[in-house]
Amino acid sequence: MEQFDIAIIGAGPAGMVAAIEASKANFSVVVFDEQTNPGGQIFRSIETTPVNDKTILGPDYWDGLNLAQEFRASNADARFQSSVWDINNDKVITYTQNNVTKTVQYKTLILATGAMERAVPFPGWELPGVMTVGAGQILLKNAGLIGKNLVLAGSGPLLDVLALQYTKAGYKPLAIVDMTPRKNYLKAIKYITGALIGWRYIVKGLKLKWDLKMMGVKRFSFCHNLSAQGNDKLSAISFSQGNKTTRLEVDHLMTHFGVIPNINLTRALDIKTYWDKDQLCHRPVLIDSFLSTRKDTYIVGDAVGIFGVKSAQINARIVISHIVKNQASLKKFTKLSKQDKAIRPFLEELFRPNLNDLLDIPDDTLICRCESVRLGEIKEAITVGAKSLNEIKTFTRCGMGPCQGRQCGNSTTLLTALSNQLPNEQVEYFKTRSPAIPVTFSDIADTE
Amino acid sequence: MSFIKLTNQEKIKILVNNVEHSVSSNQSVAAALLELGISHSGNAMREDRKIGPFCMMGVCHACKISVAGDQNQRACMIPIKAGMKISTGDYNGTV
Repeated sequence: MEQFDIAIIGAGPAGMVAAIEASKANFSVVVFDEQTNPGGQIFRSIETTPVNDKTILGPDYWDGLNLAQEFRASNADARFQSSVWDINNDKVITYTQNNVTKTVQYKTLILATGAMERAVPFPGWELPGVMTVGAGQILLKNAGLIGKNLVLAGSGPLLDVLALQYTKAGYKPLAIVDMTPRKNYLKAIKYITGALIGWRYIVKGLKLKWDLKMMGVKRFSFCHNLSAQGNDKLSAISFSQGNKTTRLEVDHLMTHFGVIPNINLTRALDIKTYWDKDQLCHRPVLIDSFLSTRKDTYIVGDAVGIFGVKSAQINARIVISHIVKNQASLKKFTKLSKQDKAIRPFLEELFRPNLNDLLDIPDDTLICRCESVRLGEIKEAITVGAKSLNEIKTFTRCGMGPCQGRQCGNSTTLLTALSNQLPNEQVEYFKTRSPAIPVTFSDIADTE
Repeated sequence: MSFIKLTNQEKIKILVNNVEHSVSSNQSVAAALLELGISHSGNAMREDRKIGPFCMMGVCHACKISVAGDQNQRACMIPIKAGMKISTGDYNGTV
């Protein structure tokens, strides 16, 4: 079997920096990623994007090109279109690439599996034509595709980022339906100290809002009760502002309710996770310098919790400094990490979706998109005694489909807590096992 | 549902449900189908309901299609290639 000193799962900003630094330190490094190219989601298609006009995707995106080039030039063995679905206690990684299953062995493992958008169910969100804002970004980066007659809805800076990219490309979205609650602005003020340390982020955010206003992008603020309508595909949306309901005919709706760590592989490796009350999601428990509760296994980047692209890279440097036991650089990067993260409590408070309100939805709203489980069925399961996500899964099949709970896990946690009047952290998450990504028997049969 | 193509890419021929289409290269299969105006990739499990791409990053599995008879492909994760034989509507949620 092939042997490597360090195996890295994910070639986003954290994975790339970890690979570059580990290679510099003369370790043999293997990197797995499901995509065809490095970059992760934030720098998706950075090497291949057809969008050559650099003003459209902006300097923050193009920053990724240097990193990808440095990664390509490193000695790390990068394996793309590779889905890692098992890692055992003998440090053997099993992955499938082009329908063939292979194994490698490592000494130290770094998970850089990134984040995904929080799926928040609302009536009609299953209609083709409804996508996430992240999906809209990927379509733009990967393919230069722009959704006609688009409304962006939800909360968080990504809505504004995509609206600006569209506008710069010459296609204004119809509107931004901003669902950030009014009270968040007041609550965020108590974290102003952190905001002052991270003032550059604030300036950037305010400039974004100002630019959109100047460009005439319509914004509906403090909205709630979002729903999508259509037969077989999206044709209209409606939402409320106070007591006033607005209906818009649209071709596309892209929603965003924040980002959460992708924890399936983490949990399949029996790494402990906990419910973070501030980020409203499950996060891995870290012991020291991003070392997890599993032997010789580090976790970096947004797979740890949502701290953004800069922190992801700083944290990857902390991990490599820890592995090579370089105390001076460990100290330096830990300080930098603290500075970059200072803004987070402010941003978290400001953009935190009011999930309890958002989940106050009709019983026929789809919760589990894979197995077609609606809210009413989940409530029934809770009525007869389901208190954990596994019990809900047993009763309803919620979370049993191919996405393995990635789309329903977060909302079902909150719904279960709400109905049982339990704190979120007392709701046990799905038991996640290998394969951490669905693989076919024929792929497993084709094992090298 | 309609998308505007901002960019000019080399065109390639693909087969979707046995019909030949010309579509831009250098993008994912999911993007290519959306460029062609094909928003339905499959059918939901346990319900008579059409589904289509949602997350574009490989986590939601709603864009699964068949490529050359292989039923279990996430359209957002594979690059489009000339001569690809794609069929939509095969996927019914089973793994």
